[in-house]
Amino acid sequence: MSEEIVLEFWEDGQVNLEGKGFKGQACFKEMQFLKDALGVETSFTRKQEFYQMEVKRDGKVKAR
Amino acid sequence: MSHYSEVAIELTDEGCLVAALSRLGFTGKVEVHKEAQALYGYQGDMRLQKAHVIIRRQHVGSAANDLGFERQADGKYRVWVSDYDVKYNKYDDAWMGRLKQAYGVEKARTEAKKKGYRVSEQKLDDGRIRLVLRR
Repeated sequence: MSEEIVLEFWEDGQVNLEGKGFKGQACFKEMQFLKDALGVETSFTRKQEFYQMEVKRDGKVKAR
Repeated sequence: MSHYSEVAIELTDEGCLVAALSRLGFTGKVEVHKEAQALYGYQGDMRLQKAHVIIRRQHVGSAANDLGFERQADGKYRVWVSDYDVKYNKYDDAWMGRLKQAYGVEKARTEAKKKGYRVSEQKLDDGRIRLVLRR
């Protein structure tokens, strides 16, 4: 799944932000610039994927 | 997916504020000043309040007063709107909400493009505006 950020702006001046397709805390980091630009965060809800590990593979194997 | 956030929008960006006012129908009717200028009442009387972004009373409504946005020391804009215009010209909380909505859309579009995102915008039937950012 590709990474995207969805924002929904309500007519009362609130905005909901949702990260899709991110693994782990990459979503949190990627969306921070929008929160900083728009105003004050009033609620925050983690989804299951927030706790998934971000796996980095470099192809190297260390021998003991 | 990983998290949801809810943010209360604050007005801090002059360009996005002007663009938001254009979305609400004030295209070409917004004054922008480096130094705060006086606001005037419906009889042409100078008021004590000053503002950096101003919509003059002839554009605000019937028997209206100037509508102003004064930049504070913390960078946030304070809104000057008369009690009369709140009550009779509908510059009320609902209007402020729509202004913040329009501002938020403009601000998010601006910041997302700086980060290299492609932005698509959709107006929903219930009044919400949805932006989808991809790259």
